[in-house]
Amino acid sequence: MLAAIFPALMYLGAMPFVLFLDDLIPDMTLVLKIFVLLTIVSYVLQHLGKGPLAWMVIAVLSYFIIFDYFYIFGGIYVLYMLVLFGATQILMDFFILAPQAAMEQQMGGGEEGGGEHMTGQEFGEKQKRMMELRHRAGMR
Amino acid sequence: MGTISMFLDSLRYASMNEKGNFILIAFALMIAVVLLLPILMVVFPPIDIIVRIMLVFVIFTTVRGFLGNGVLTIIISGILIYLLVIKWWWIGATGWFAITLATFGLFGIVTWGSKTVLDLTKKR
Repeated sequence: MLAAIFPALMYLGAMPFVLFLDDLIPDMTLVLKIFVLLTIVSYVLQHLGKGPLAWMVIAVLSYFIIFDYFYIFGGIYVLYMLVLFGATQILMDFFILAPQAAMEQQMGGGEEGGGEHMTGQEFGEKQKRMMELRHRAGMR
Repeated sequence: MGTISMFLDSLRYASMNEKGNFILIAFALMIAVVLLLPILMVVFPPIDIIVRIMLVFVIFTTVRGFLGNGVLTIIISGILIYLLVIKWWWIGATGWFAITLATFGLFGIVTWGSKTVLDLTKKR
């Protein structure tokens, strides 16, 4: 895939960017593999101690995770790290605050969206829509 | 379920509304905060030296925490220090800064502040 993308980008005149990525991606893959290896070693040594069996298990796990199926486990490790460092907290904040932002946009810009120029009927409709949106967002 | 549909609504409205999107604004603010450190490292050389020394300590301590004291720790630390402190210093600094800020929960404050304090999603 990358082999097809790089010549195309080079043809489009993105040579410096392509060279930069060409150098960056293998290096960062190596860094990721080292961190995965550290996690495996730490996990196995913690459970089995420093014996020959532990190093055999490390070798087997490393072969499958780092060399054979890294395209799966690399992504899983990145997700694990993101969850560990609180990326889910950010998602939760988004789930709480994004509906409010959407609601304000649907209501025409929130409180500054022309509240003083509304007729009684428009105000009633706005309140009704607000209630409906609150109901949909689970804010009863 | 309703909350998820509202969340998706907010994404859809982002493409329709010139006021922009709260989520994109929050992400942009997070990236801006994280990129502050490499920019400061370029502008002020003393910060560059201090951050590089701290990165070396952080990498060595992390590897020692995984493997304990030994030759393997020094070899792996050396590889990581070369890649993350010398060659790709800006990625190392940005990653370390992002992890530190995430650990302190600062991104939650940025997300909350981009909606309630800055309020960039409202009509001007």
